[in-house]
Parts: sequence; structure tokens; C-alpha cells
Amino acid sequence: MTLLQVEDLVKRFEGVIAVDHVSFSVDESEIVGIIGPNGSGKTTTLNLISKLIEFDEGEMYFKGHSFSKLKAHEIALMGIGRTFQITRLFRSLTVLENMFVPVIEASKEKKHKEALEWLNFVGLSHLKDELAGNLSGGQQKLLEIARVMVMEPVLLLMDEPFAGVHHSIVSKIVELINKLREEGKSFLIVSHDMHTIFGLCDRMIVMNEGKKIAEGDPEEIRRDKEIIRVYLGV
Amino acid sequence: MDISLIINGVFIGSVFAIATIGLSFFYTTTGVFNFAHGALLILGGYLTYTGLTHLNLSLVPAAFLSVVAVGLFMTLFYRYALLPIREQHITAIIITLALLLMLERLIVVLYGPWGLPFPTFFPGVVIVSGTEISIQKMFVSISSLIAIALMWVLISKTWIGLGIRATIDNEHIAASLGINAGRMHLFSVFISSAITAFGGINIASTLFLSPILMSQMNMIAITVSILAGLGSIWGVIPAAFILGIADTIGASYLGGWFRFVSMTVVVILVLVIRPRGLFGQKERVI
Amino acid sequence: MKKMWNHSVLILAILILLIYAVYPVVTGDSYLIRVFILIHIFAILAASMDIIVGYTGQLTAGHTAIWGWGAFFGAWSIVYLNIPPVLAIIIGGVVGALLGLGIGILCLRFRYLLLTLVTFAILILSYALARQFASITGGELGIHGIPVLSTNRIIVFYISLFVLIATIVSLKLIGRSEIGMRMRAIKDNEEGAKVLGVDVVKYKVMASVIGSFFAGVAGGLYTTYMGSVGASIFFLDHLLRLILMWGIGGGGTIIGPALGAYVVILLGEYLRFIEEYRLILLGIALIVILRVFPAGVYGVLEKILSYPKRLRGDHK
Repeated sequence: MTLLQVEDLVKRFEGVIAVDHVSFSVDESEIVGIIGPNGSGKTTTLNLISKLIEFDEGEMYFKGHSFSKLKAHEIALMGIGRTFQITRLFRSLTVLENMFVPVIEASKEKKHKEALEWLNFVGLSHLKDELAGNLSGGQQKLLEIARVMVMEPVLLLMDEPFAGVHHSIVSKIVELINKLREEGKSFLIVSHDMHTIFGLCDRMIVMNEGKKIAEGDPEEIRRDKEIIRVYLGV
Repeated sequence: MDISLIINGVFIGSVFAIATIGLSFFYTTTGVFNFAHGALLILGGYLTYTGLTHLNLSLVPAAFLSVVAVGLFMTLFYRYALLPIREQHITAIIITLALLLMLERLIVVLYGPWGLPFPTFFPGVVIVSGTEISIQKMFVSISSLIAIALMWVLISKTWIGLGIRATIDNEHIAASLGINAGRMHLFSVFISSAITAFGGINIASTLFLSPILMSQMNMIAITVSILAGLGSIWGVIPAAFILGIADTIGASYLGGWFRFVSMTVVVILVLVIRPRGLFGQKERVI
Repeated sequence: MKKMWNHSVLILAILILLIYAVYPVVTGDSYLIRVFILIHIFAILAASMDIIVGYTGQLTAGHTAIWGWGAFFGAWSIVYLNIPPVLAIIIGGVVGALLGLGIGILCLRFRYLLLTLVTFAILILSYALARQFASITGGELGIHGIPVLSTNRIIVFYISLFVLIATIVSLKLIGRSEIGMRMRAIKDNEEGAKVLGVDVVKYKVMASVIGSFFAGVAGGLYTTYMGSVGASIFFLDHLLRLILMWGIGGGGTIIGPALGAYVVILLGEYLRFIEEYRLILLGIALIVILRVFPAGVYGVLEKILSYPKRLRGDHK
């Protein structure tokens, strides 16, 4: 069943078209990757879905309902979680406080326990009273993922989850994504790490200059001459 | 040095702290510098005066009503006049200046341009090693510090406080985690305006109640918040005591005019030499 | 934009100006003449503030401080140096420009809020200094009996009208020139302007000097019209009124803030029956205008005047 559906999404920045009539969908329990050169509109697409920026044209549906008019926090509460390319933690808050932020609006005290469990899961519970700004890069990435999981998102938008972290942490994140997918969660992942993303995704979307230029399973994409041209610039 | 000078300095410091903390908190959460702050402060005093004299209330309900009324008024004003445009900095500042003008006029119209007698709730003095200390002043210092401590608990130890701190830290991530940042702004505006009104009652009960106090207290609050560093909420407290004690000592040696000149010189010097103040973070200063 | 000011609008504007100019001679209504002189002075102040705020995007709170010092130096030059009052207006302008240069350079390190706060402190400092050095400023009571421009108010009306028109024309010319374009670029995006090769330092200081020159002129005019000046010239009230004029008239257009001076002062005069409430009303008006028609009264007039033209355009 289709979870997220994006139709003819358009975003312009001062005359430059950043996202140009892009349409795609993400099914339940599916991992979809978006690849493309720098400036091809990948991150902007994620920002439009999570409403960190407003889009100009198009329509978006979640579980068949349009959410184009919702605000950023309403989209988050609906079940679309988000992680960022440059890890964005509340640097002035402790690790534990970071974990509690998603629970505030839900105001369920039992989730308190869940926050601690997730922290345990990513192996950061011994650092719970440390300021988030003091963690190492890899730890920050794990904390960001654990934090968004407290929200119990159905769909997770991840921007470069493998960038700038150690190999061991990359495999840990991959393992986590696969496990969560089996639990029924869906993922839309933007990445430059070709090796990892090709191994992980069920389906890939290729973007260039704001347009979707190809879509298919990893094998199809790998064979596509046009994509090789875009990437190698031949 | 005269001990009574130090005691008075501590008293003035606590008054400066309660007069400033709301301005600093308001700015830190919303990013809007509220030039109408001084007006909200003395509005708290005037509304309490109305409660005491016209409505014949006793002190606690009169003070409570005025604190809630100022808090609600500013929250509504923020919601409809400032929240939608708070990122256009010129428009936002001009709107707070317009609010200052309107509140100042309203107070003059309703209460007259001259000072009003505000009751002293705790008359009498205690004598500590030969120095007289007014009980009213002690009460004001202690209740101001308690109010600030309560605000600290609210922000540091509660769920709403966590939401507010997350919003201060980064509004976009907070939204991506389901926090309604606009609502957090409204909470902060309410808390900061309510504590400001409370400060106004304290100031009225020890100094006097007059429209002149508005621009003086505005300048004091601006100076303390800049010395503390814009965006530093708790830095306001040490900054208030430093300035309060310096002000008392300076005024006793150099005369009253010292106050106005020194305040403005502090603002200009701090901003030129160290724009982030004593306790501010660099990245929050715009 | 320029096309919109077609001949009929231009003729209408000149006609209104002519009627306005002969009005005092025909009617001799001395009350209204006094009001108009005051409006001229504030219109010069509001229009000159616009080159700093509306064009370059620096919200200065020190404009009335410069106005005040222009007035004081004008007064001193008459009282101590016995120069003719007309020259005192120019002295006010020169002092204003020098202060504008100093403040402009000081404020280069500040943007947005910090700039407003520093200039706000300068205004309060000016008041404190003027009160402290009462022996030369007259303190709160002020200096009185300064020789005036002319005891004939009609002459003062024409002089101030002339200065106002000269101010608007020169500011408008600067605004339309490349200098004005660069100032606007700084307002829109300072970093972007830097990248495009705009000498941000130069144009910011230039805006401050030009705007402050006219503020000083307005100060000289004020003191030689009133025959007195005191520390109260630095009251925050003047700044707040000036901001009302700027916002209600429509910032960024030079003419808009000058029109704002007419709106604010005339409404203030004609709404005397509601006394102090008129400033509250004007405050509400400012907030509504900023939120609903940010282009102000001038923007609304512009729309109305261009309406017939657009209608014709549609029928083509």
C-alpha cells in the first residue's frame, strides 16, 4: 500500500527552479533511496515533504490524505520523522533532554521509558547527562536517529545518514534501518554513499537539476547509461 | 565603605534583575526585542493600583490579577501583531515601539502624568549592626529572587520548559520533532510578561508609580540585558547585581545624573567592545 | 514605475502644490500656517530618515538626536557667533552631517537590533548630556529668545516649504541614481551586495551622512522658527512620532514618510477633541498599516492613481 505520494512538486528559489515537477511514492515497509549530484534538489525535496520550507506547486498525500496544508510540527506528529545531513541536535540540551523533546507534545509519561530504551539501544545511555554538543560526530548521528525514533514515525526521511561517520557506525545504522523496516517502517534516504545505498534500497530515484531523471530497482539504475553520464559528467 | 550602600546596592540589583529577566527571556525565545518592556513593567504596577483602590481587593488577588492580565494582553498582542512578522526585524521593532507609545499614552490618559501614591505593604525597618534596612525593600528583594527561581524551575525542570528550551535552541528541529514552536513562543511571552508585571508591582511598592519610571526602567532593562549578553537569560542576574551595586556607589559619589549617562555609556561600550556581553553566546548575537 | 506617473498625475500634483503654496497668502489662516511649518520640519526629518531606514535598511533610533544637536548648534551659532538665522540652518546641516559620519562609522560594526540599540543609547545619552550641561543648553527649560528666521510666519512657511521640496527632490534623485540602487541592494541582502561588488561600508556611511545632513537642517529650521530649544528635543516622544510618520506614510519611498508627517500631525490637530487617545489611535493605525498595507499611505495613493491607467491597459 502507498504510504507517501508526491505529485508534481515544484520549488523555486529566486527564479532558480530547485525542484521541478517531481513525482514519486513510497510504499509501506519500503526503503527508497534518492541519489543525484550536488545541487540536484535531493535535500530540498526532503525539506518540502517535512515542510521545513513551503513548496510552490504540487500535492502530497500520506496514507491517501493530502497534507499539503499542514505545518511542520503537525507533519511530524502525523508520523513523518526526519534526520538531517549535518546532524542537528539541541546542543545546549543534555542527551536525555534531547530524547525527551519529541515526547512533550504527545505527553505520554510511558514514553519516558521508551526514550531511555532507545538511548540504550544505540548505546548512549552512559552519556545521558552530557550536553549533546559535546558528543563525537558518530555519537551525534546515533542520538539523532534514536531521538526521532521516540516519535514512533511510520516514515523516516533521512538526509545523508552515512556521511562523516565511522564504518562501524555505518553498519550499525544499516542494521537498524533493516530491522525497523521488518517492523513495518518505511524510509526515504538521500545519500552519496553509493555502495551502502545500493545495497540497502528496494527502489532508487535519481535526480538531476531538480528533475527526477530515473526510477527503478538498484540493478536497473546501475545499468542505466544516462545515470552514469550524469555522475561521471562524460 | 558604608555598609548601607552595599545593602542598598543589593536591593537595587534585585530590582534590576526582576526588571530585566522578562525582556531577556522574551528576546531569547522569540527573537523580538520588546521596546515596550518598560511599559509592561509599570502597567503591572498600575493595574495592581487599580485593584487595590478601585476594586478594593487585597494585595495578593490584586497582584495576581494584574500579573495575569499583563501576561494575557502581551500574549494576545504577540500572537496577532508580532508572531507573523517576527522575522522582518525592522517591522517587528517598530511594532514594539508603537506598543510603547500606545501603552504610555494609555497610562497617562487613565492615571494622569504625575506619580500616584502606592501603598507600602510592609512598613518598618530592622536594624542590623547599626544599619537600618526597610522591611519592604527586603521583601521586594526576596520575592523578586523567588519569582526568578520559580521561573528557572519552570524552564529547566518541566516539560513545557523543555519545549521552550528546544525551541530556543533550534526552532526547525523542534518542529521536525512535533513541537509547536509558535505555541512555545506564546508560553514564553506569557511567562516573561507575567514576571515583568510582577517586577513592576515590586518597583512601585518601593520607589513610586509614575509614567517617568517607564522610560527609566526601559533603559535599565536594556542596559542589564546587553551587559549580560543578548540571548543569555540567567546572565541577567549577575549583570543586574554588578550594575546595581556599581550604580548605587557611583550615584552616591557622582550624583544622580551619573545614572543615565553611565547606563547609556555601558550600552555603547559593551556593544563596541564585546557585543555578546558578559555571559552571552556569540552565535545568538545578531 | 516611472511610466505610471503619466502627465495627468503630474499636472494634478503640480496643481495641488500650487494651491497649497498660495493658500497661506489667500487665507492668512495663521493657525494652519503654524501647523504647516511644523509639518514641513517633520516631513524633512521623516524623508531624511527614509534614506537610512527605508533605503539602506538600518533602523536608526538616533535620527531625532541628530535633529536635536542640529537645533542646538544652530542656536549656539546664532547666540554666540551672531550669525544670521538662515546660515544657522546650514550650520545645523553641517553638524548633522558630521554626527552622521561619526555614527555611521561607529555603526558599521552593528546590524539589525544592535544598531537600533546603540543609536537608542545615543539618543538617551544626548538627553542626559543636554540636561547635565544646563549652563549652555538651558536644560529642561531650554534656551529662549533665539533670533528667528522671520517674524512673518508666511515667509517662514515659504522658506520651510522650499527646504522641504529641495530635500525631497535631492533625496529622490539620490534614491533613483546608482547610489540609491546600491543602498537598496544592501537593504535586501548585505552579504549578496558585498559579493556583487557593492562597497557596503561606503554606502552605509553615505546614507548616514546624507540623512543626517537633512536631519540637522530640520533641526536648524526648528530652532530658528521656534526661537527656542531645550533638552526636551531629545524626548523619546519625538522619535516615536517620527516612526509613526515613517511607517504610516510608507517607508522606502522618500515622499511616503513626508506624507506621513502630514497625516500624523494633521490628524493630531483635528483629533484634538479625543485628546491623548489620538496617539493610541495612530499607534493602532501604524500596526495595522505595517501588517496590511506595508507600502503605507503613499503605496495606497500610488495604487489609486495608477488604477485608471491599468484599466485602460486591460482593455487593449
